[in-house]
Amino acid sequence: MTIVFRPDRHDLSTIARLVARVLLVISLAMLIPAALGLLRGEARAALGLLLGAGLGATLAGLAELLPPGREVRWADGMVASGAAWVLAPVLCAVPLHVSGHFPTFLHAYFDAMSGLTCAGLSVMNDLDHAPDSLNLWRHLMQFLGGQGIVLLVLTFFKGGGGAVGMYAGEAREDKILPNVRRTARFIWNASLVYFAIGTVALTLALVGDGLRPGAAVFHAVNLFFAAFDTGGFSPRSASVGYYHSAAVEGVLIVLMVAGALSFALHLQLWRGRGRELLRNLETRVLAITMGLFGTMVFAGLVAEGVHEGFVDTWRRGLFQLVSAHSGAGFSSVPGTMFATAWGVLAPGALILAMTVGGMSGSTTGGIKAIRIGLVGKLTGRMASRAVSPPDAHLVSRYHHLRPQSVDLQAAAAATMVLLLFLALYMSGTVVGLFYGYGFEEALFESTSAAAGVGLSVGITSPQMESPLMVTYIAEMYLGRLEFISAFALLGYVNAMVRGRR
Amino acid sequence: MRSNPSRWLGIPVLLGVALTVLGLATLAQVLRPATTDLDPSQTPLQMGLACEADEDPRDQPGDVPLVRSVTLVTCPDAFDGMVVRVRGEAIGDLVGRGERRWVLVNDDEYATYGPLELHGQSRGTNTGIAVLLPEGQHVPNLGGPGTWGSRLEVVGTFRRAAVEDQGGPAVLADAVTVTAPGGQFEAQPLGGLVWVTIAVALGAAAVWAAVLHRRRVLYRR
Repeated sequence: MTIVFRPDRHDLSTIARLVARVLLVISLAMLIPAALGLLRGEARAALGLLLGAGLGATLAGLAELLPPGREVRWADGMVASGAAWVLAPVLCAVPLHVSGHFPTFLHAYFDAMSGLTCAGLSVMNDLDHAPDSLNLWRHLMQFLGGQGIVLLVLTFFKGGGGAVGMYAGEAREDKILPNVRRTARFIWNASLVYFAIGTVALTLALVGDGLRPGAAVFHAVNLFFAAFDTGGFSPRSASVGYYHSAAVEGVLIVLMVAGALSFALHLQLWRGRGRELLRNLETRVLAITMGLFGTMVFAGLVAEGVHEGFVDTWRRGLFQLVSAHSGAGFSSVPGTMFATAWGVLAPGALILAMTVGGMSGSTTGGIKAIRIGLVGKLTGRMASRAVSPPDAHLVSRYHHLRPQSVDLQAAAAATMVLLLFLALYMSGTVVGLFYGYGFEEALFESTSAAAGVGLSVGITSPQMESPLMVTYIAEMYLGRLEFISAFALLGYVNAMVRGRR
Repeated sequence: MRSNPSRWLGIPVLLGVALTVLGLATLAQVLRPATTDLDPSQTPLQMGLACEADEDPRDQPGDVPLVRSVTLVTCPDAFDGMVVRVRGEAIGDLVGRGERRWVLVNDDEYATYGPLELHGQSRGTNTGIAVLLPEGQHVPNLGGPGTWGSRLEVVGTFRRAAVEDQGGPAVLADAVTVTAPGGQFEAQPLGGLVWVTIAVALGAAAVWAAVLHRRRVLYRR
């Protein structure tokens, strides 16, 4: 049996309204940096943001004037998520392009997609002279995208039955509380608490580092958005290396780890159930991968003799590992040096860490620890089956928020997504190879884009080839949505084009 | 009863979406700042061969080798421990406590020709190197939004993993000379951006007035 999406005008109207609400929320968000721009006298940036907000509000209003659709269903929500993540970066790119810091609209769209998907790769020109309001918008995009632009809409609007579809379409699996709206509100409340604590801690660290208090607050807010939502943009081109501060890096490590934890786990911890941290399959997988990749990074750095002392190796290696594993993508040394000074083993470990990512239902990208864990459990079960009597009944158990047994269907789905991610990493690598980059560099950059990390060995630049830029945009999009809602959108588009005359 | 999708509905909807996207991109393109010619009296550094010092027509024989930051991070082993000269713009903030402070020195084309918003020309990303200033050294006018920072000439030792920075690449400066003081600059004119923004805002207000009116009518029914 083949399931074919058959959208009619009611479906299209419903989907248009859902997407329009995302655009409306983004338009309202643009007013925050626009206000900063007006206060700072950054006329062009402020007007560009107001223009973007006005355009988004107009489009959202026009969608509201469409004939009413029917009740939102799961598939509508799923497709709306897929469409919103294609169209929202278009709106976000308007103020970026109007600023003049991007040579073409494609460049601006690349940065908008990178911001919203929390990839953190950038093709922006002259970041170091960019207006503060534009810089704030870049980082705010990461906050909105990391939390989920659809989630933001669900916080304020009723989504009906389609809310679950929209929620799932944004690659969120855990409905933490009984309904999606309460879940969305918990996620925002938790994030705002982290925002308050993280921003104060970063401000103190930056003031201690010699920055003026005003500048420290500005940098702290931006760094928080980029760290907690594992985005990786930074206010200066030198990334975190700009600050020369172990304290800043320490706070960022805590925030990146917090961002890599699922919100379901955050809820457990907030309820005082600390044991969940020890028993959860995902934390166990992450502990193993951190240990393994950490050993590789430190061995690689020591073998190459990169640093003179143990503390230096520890500080640089640990920060880059957490940055790669969490998908944040900050760098405390210039990215080019991963290829020119770090040898092969340490960058290889960073690639593997990027591949895995953090927890499901977190702000990170990549394959996710739960899938690695499930595939590992499935592999273990198959090995046990091989050495067990034929009539033995094998049950493989694990703990993920509650005791569970390995469900073959879930394990198969995890394997499928894992394979799709590997195919995505390799497809970008092949395009990179086509343009003459070395295998290691092409693999590093492609993995960074698809897993939403943002570390770069230098391929990503304003001068990069347009087809390669489009490839990375597609990788960021597919990696963020974890394929399903993107496939649903493609199915709808196919049905719209091939529908009955 | 669900109707099958009609191609005559689907294709126009998709075309409408594509045209909207194209319209937004075109509008943003039209409203971008115009570009102006770069100052012909400025001479950008000539990129040297791989892992070799760069060249500047103003150099005298016997000068400490001038090396771009890109060359330093691309070939860190070749220059590790060498005394080098870096020429660029001081950016952002003076960072760190104590007598010696850090500054980022960018030697990209925006350091040479001025910030992008001064001339509107895209000349790539920023590139620079961290410099540990000599004791007590102060740098006026650091580059940032609306400010073209002081241009410096730095002579110092390059370390690919400086102990002073716990492992980051840096130039540990022995001498820093301010070659141009820097300061505020006038950004490109806004052109029609103001009026278009006002028009769009009024349009948005009109559309939402219609939306609210329709909601009121539906509510009364």
